[in-house]
Amino acid sequence: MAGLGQRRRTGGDLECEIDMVPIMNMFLVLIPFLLASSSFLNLKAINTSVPVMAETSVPAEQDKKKPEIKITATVKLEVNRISLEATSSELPEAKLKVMDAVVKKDSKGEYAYDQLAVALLKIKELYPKSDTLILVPSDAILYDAIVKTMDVARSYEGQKLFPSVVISGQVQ
Amino acid sequence: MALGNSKAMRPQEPEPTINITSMMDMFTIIVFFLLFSYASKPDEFAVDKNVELPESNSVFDYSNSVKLFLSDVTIKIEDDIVAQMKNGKVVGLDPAKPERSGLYQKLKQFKEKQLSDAKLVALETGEKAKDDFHVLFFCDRNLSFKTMNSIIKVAAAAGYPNFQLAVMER
Repeated sequence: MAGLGQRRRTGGDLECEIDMVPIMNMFLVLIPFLLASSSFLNLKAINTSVPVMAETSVPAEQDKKKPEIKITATVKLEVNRISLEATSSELPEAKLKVMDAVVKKDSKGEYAYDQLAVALLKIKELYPKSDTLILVPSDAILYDAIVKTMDVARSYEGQKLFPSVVISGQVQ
Repeated sequence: MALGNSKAMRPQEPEPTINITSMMDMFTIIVFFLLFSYASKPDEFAVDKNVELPESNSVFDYSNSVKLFLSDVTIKIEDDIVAQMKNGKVVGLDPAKPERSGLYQKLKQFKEKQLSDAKLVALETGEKAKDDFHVLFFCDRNLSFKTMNSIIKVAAAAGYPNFQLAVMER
């Protein structure tokens, strides 16, 4: 073993340089191609719908044994506040009223979306089968505020809230 | 002549070599960055320059659907201008009779075409014809709901009760 090492040393190290020019050429071809097919704008979509008439189905025998109450949250987006109302045909008015909330704008003039999320989270924890939220913006509300409210309504801090958001105009 | 002689007499200088290692490093970084943002089908939308889409935490990708571009001046469906906007209102749209508007008629055309295409596909595959078509909305973030709502109502009347709102990923 010692002999091998000695032989190497006596032979002298040859400095070996890799020819990087062909790699450079390949990169120069790759970069314009990738630049042309790159997508720098990450476009996403929010699924929504308008309220539609639907036929109510008679609950199956199994469902009758284990009734799972669903709450429909109605969020009214107004210029100065957001009001949340819980509706359900399976619960008395008094129980629903407890879940109602009003969120006012903060000192910076922005909606306190966190408060709305907390109120929605409470409903979701009590009635986990709830999945529909009706968003009712007033005419002057900007599209940006609607999107922000929808974001909060769908999920909050990684917890799924109301994935099905329906947009409805105010009844005049 | 003396000049030439002296040049020849000079000891030969070694051929200069450029060190391209740093350039390689830079190119490697660029290639990897571009590879990560590579899209097999890049988005090609003719969104107006003055239309700024809102940001959202939505993770859903948009699907291939009818694209409606709404700016404060025009309404475009795919590449065609179908209506003009004035003071946040659609010119020539009577809310009581939306079926008379160009917007409604264009959307109806799209719906009928999509339905007939879906029927053909269903015949070929033997599956049920798809009918859950929707409109992909491109609206400016500062647009009021009043304007949006008038168009949503027309789209719903034309057979599109489901929508996708185009947003930028946050």
